[in-house]
Amino acid sequence: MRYSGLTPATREQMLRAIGANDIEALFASIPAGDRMQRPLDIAGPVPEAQLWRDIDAMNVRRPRVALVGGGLYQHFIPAALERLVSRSEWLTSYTPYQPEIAQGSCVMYYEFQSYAAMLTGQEIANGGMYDGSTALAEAVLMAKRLRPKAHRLYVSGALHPEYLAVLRTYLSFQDGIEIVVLPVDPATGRTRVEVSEADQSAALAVIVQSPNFFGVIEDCAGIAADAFTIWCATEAMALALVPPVPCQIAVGEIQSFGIPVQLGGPTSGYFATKKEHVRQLPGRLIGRTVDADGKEAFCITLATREQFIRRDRATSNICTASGLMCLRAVTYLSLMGRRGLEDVARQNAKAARYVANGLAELGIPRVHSGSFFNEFVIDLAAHPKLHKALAKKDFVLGLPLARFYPKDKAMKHRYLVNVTELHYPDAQAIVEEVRRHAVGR
Amino acid sequence: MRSVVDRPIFHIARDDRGGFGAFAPNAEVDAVELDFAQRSDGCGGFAQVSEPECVRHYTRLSTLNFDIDRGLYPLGSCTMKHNPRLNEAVAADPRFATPHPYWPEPYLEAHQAIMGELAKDLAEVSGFDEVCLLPAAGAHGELTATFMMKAYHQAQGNTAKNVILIPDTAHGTNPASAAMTGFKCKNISSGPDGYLRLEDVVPHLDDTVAGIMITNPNTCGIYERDLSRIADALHAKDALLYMDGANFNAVMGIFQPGKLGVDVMHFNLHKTFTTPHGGGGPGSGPIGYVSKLAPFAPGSGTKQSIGPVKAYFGQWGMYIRAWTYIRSLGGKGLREVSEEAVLNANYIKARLADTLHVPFATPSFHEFVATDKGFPNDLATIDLAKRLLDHGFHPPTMYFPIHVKGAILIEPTETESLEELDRFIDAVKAVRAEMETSPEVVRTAPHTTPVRRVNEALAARQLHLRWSVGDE
Repeated sequence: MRYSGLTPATREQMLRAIGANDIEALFASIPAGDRMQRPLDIAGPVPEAQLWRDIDAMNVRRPRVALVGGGLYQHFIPAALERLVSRSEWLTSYTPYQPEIAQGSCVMYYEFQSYAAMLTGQEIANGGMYDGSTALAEAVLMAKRLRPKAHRLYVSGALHPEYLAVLRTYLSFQDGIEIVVLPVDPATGRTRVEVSEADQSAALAVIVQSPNFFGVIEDCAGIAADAFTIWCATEAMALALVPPVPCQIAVGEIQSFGIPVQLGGPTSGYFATKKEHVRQLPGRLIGRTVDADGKEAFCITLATREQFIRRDRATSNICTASGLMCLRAVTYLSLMGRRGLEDVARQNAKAARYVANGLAELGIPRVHSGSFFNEFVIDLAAHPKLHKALAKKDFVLGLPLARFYPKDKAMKHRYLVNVTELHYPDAQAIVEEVRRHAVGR
Repeated sequence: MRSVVDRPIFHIARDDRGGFGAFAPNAEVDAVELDFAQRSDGCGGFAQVSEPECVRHYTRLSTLNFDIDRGLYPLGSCTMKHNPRLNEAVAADPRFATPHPYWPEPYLEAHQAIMGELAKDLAEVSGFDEVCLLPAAGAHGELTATFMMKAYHQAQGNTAKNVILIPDTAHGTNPASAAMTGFKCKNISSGPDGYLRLEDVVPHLDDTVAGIMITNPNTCGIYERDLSRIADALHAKDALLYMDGANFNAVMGIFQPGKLGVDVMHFNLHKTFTTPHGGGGPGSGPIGYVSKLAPFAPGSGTKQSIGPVKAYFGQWGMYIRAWTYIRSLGGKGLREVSEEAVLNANYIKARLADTLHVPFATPSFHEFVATDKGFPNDLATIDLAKRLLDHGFHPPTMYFPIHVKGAILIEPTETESLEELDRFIDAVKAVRAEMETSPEVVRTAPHTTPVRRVNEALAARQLHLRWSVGDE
């Protein structure tokens, strides 16, 4: 076994110290009928050098251009980040239950909480969730703890469909929460909140995503001032430029900050709220304190909310969350600085507009009039072969929305196009390539 | 030796430094005007550091952490074993790190195949009919499983089944997950020998019981020898048996829970299958289950499915690491992992028999529980733990499991050498001796760590959870 620390001789020596005749004797407390009677049918061992050859043989392909987002975004990751986050001390340490030898992680989480609070305009934030989709579900569970009598939940129809599906799963095990999906204005792409202020005030929460799944920045017109608003975001890069949505809880996905897309996991979610709700927060919190000498130190705090102490009355069952991914986000934000982040965000927004304008000139206009950050919807009904023709050239012109809305005829030819800073230097070439296929035949 | 603790980065950031450069200007693109209102609060007020400052900051911070690569990390129930760097290299390969789940299918064929192989291997090692990889961590796997258990009972029309039995050895996540599913939790005591006997369960088995959550080997490191008999008793009442697989590192190739009446179980890829703990994640918590629960699983394609519990494919970056590990070891190697994990724990237990009180005579598997009974001068588990830091070791898990007073839970894992085990044993013995000869040194430990004993009560009393502009 490649990762064993023992040798045949030390095994024998240890068995003698234990007073066991052989390894089998150590398993004697398992009833005979419980024992597996055959070897595991798992191939290997494969030597390291061979494994790389096997991987090469898989012939993994990738698109040349992929304007695909929809909740996960391809962004540039600085070289220093990869070097820093692969250090043993970050990679191979545990959750900081012993703060005296985990100040590195404790300070890192404190920085994460600070960044999340600043970027969302909230007072406090926790030390990270699994991802954006579960963070949103936990936000609703927290709303339920704060407003136990409310039962109706208004959800924007422009919420990421996978987030809505996860939310439905979580809530189907809560008694009597009714989900009401708010319509999306077909012209602007914004959520229409046509619910009376009284109904909103009495509701469990109003969930709005901004920028929303169609890339449109919500204006939140019609949301009552005293509604319990949960603001969700999947493109954290937008937080650098777009003003925060006033809300009770801000949750979202931070993959855009230094985390590779890696098929959507692992990533990390942020969870920010008002200080008055702190005791209802799910997940881990790091607080500042002092050590026995009065020196500044950091440690896990308010653990009495957590499962390892409160058990079935905990605010959440979360234990291991997303430490290394929080580290990536923190390192990314620190390397970029506020101005670097704004610069990159601006390159996203400008490149996306440039491509959108270019497509419009080709007769492929945006579907929505509402302003957007780095993602927008186009309709290819007039160019039914374009998407496929480009795909043959390993160019993916957006995400087909029919995949998420199979029953909605209007979505049949619609594509969600994402343009990030990675496309900024080549924005002209991207438009030109589409032009060649769309009109230049 | 104490080192300087870096303050959070906000204290060294300045606003008059340039930001990190994005791409060189593209004048034609830059000419496009932005048509939305932009935030004017400077993103809440954080500033810039230079790259050298940033690299030094996170490098220095990292050195304040204890990590497996520095030494034995015997946290019971956490399985802190070596994280092979091959796994990291494979996961970081752009072929695996960068694909998007919404790319067209042809680009994802290899990834789908790897997920299929991992699910198949996990099914083989556990004996379950099917495996769902999706849950994001162990506790999330528990939640997914308890959702499925609830959906199963609802489908049978057994709406009265709303109680989950929780043995006193259970991880806190078990009752927390059950409660999030809308179950009531009923705590039950395990037997005097450290395991749950059939007769401990039977009196509680009425028509309200939906299931039980058992960790095996349990959190005392003891094999639950009545497991299959408990399963039979539960199944006679159409209740379900959940097994917490946090301790699966002890039993690969030794027993298959899916063949012994366990209905559903979670794996921790970050414990058993060497994906790194990363200072608190990410984890990955696939679940295995028998066919009667299959229709209720996420992605089952039936109307009875509970639905997704997470967006996209789950923790792909962890799957690829676990897949690499399993390929690297093969079936025979996985069994040897469990054998040596158990051997190492029993070796420490035998060598410390004259040093620490061990409450159960029952044989141990990959970990064993000791207590602070007999410590002199009013010293307790926490003092042993903190003084071990001065001897260069991470302490064992303290005060867990909760039903063992002053618990000290020790799990060395299989990746330690005999020499490292001996160094740890010597350190425990040395601290035990110091408790007699210099109790104040132990009571006020640690003395050599970057910070001294941290005032956790003050942190909770004077909540300070973030930096703000103007903070001292």
